[in-house]
Amino acid sequence: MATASTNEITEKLEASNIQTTSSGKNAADVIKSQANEAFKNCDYEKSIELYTKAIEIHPDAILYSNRSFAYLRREWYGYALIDAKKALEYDPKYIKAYYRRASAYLALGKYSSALSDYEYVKKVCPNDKDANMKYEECKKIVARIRFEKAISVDDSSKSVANQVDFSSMTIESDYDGPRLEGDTRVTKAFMEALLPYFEKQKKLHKNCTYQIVLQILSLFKSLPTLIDISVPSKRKFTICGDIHGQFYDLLNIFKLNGLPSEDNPYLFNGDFVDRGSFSVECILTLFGFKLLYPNHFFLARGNHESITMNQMYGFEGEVKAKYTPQMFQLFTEVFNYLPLCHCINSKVLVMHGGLFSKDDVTLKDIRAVDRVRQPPEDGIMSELLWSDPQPQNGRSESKRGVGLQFGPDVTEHFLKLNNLEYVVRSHEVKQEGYELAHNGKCITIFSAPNYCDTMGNKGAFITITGDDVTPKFTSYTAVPHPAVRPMMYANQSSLFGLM
Amino acid sequence: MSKAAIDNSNIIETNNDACQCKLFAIERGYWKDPYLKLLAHSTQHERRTPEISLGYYVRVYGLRSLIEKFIKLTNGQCQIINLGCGFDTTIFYLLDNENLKFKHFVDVDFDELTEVKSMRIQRVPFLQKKFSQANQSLKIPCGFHSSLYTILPADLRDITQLDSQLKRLFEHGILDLTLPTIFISECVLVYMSNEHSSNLLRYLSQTFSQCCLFVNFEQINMNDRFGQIMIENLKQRSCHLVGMDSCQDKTSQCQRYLDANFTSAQCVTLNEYYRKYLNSNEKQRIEHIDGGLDEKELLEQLFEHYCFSWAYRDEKNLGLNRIAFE
Repeated sequence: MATASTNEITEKLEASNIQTTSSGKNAADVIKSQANEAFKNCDYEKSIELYTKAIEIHPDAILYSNRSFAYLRREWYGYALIDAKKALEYDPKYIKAYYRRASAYLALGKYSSALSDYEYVKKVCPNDKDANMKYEECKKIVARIRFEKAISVDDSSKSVANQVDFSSMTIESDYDGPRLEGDTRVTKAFMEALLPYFEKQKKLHKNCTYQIVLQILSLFKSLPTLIDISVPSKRKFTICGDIHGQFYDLLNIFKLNGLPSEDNPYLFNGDFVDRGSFSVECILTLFGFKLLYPNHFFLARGNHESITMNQMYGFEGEVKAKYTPQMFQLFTEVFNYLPLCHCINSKVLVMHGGLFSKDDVTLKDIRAVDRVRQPPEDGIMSELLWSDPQPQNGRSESKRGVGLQFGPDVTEHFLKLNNLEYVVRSHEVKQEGYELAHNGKCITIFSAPNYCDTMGNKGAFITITGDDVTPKFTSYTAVPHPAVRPMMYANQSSLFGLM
Repeated sequence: MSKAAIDNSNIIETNNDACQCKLFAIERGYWKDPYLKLLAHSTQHERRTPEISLGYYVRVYGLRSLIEKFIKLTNGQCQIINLGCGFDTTIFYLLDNENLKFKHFVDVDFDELTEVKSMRIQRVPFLQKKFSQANQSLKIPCGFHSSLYTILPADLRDITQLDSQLKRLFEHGILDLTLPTIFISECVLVYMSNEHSSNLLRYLSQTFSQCCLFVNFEQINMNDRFGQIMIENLKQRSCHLVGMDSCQDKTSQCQRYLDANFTSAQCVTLNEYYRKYLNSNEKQRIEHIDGGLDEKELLEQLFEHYCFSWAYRDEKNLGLNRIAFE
């Protein structure tokens, strides 16, 4: 009968299948041993060839996992990953395959994925030393990468500078503010009009602002990390410290000491923005003068010229309020290019924070720093922006949690090593606006009086001449400003304290 | 809206501010608290300056250490009443800690707030499972009751109302007038007039006269420029620091308790706490979290304007005089 014969045929077929399968497995096993042998002898390409043959006959988790291992050894990480995944398809519980996959992920820079695989292996084989070690290693890498990502600016293709579209920003006919010459050039007339315009709390047209900021970006890109300044004999030079958005006090500095010019050069030593609520006016003024007198007006980066600080202490909020988020991103790019350090007549070194955790740092080392980034957690760049002097010899942990505190002996040694007379830094508020430490070899200059409207301190600036770098100090008190409180644009809570 | 209602909503708003700041600090890792975000029903938290996060850390840490000392001194035979609690999560903190036992914990605040807190506790499984016998023995409108924990609605400026609410708990044997009781007040008294706060303090010291400890966190040294600016800033958003008389200095902080029949009082500024009593390893850890303190002077200035103050009555001679930071 038909049914009976169908059954018979089915049975025969099944029998023959089983036979093929078992002979197939046997054949594959034979080839597998050969592949394993080749692997042992470090002939990875041969082992790959053989594993491939075996897989064609009778694929399983072990073969894929072994081939993955061979690919890893050959550094063909992409293939290794594919095979490891394949192995897990056949057997989701095969620990070795997790291991292989983790190794492939690790090699491919997919640290989070690697970490989760190592974690699994560690859980299942808690006594496997290698798994534990890899897991710990991986964890460290992941943490480091996360941190670096958080502090870096992705500048490759996302440069805001390339996205600014001036055609959409034509200046309206009723704009009564200063304009750049030929719509591009900062002139003396422009700056002379800008200052009173800002004083009246008016907003510079974004067309001009973008022009200035883009030109500054270009200018800073051309500058080295450490800038050598030459002040001719008998000629004056002025060094100012933190300004922190206190525009009206900045105007007062110019009133007391004269507007910047080729005969009246200035160096502003960082922390131009944040806290005070006229940061936009300050930074545009400083950028304007830099463009006007590129060789007689100098700007150094402070710890506040960074994303984290700007987010917390008001600059980001202010730029977003007065302009756009895109503008803030542009400032971020610009700040990354600010020089870190200035050396005047090879005698006086000026940086925002202070000196270093290591004894043998030279000017050459500072010049070599890759500064185009958000300030890192440690190293020369971090210390330049964050360190503080201390009265006692030696070094200690910083009270700030970043950078360090360095003593008079550190200053002495550094100056001797680099043939300098003294160091000028800022970063700390001082009652008189300045303070001499380390036998006068480490001077703090802070130019924001009545800091945050509450500290009651004086501001100060230093003047020297080319032939006599003995510092002369001018202290001054705060001048009134419009009723816009500090941290106006920062997150609210800082205004109100603890509720 | 009546003036009273407006005033209340401005004070209630301060709970939101405190929660947002605390949630950001928790997110950054200053301390652990998985409960607050569920109570406050909040996910995205705006960035705060390190001074603020550190301030909240110290506030939470300092208050908790005083509460812990009280619990240890009384061997867990004690009651805890959290005045103006907001979405505070101290109850969860204590429930999670086996070594910190107590007889009963009461959270007190305006009914608009207790209603929300009670509802969230009952609706969110993660919170709800912490409490047994919820609302079975006693029903509290706009409130919550379970074997160890009660949420009581009351306007702390209305002593009659507070008294009648507490009487219910006495009558049902939930609170015991003879048991040592600690009152916690975290930025609460400053939002009511000095008359209101002294009436409250007098009422509490009288009612729980046998053995009680009042622990307070709020402003101090407010008659300088910084204080004036803070008062101005808050006024601009309709939040009035009304109870400033006691916030002048340590003397005024302590005197108000003595005037309210507490036997003895002490006061420690946040600066003192931060310098003398905070574990230095902890200090290092928390100062590193937000990439460095920008200006230590500003932190010190902020901390100079806040304090812990506490006062007690100890007719049972339990040794409440030993409660201090160390």
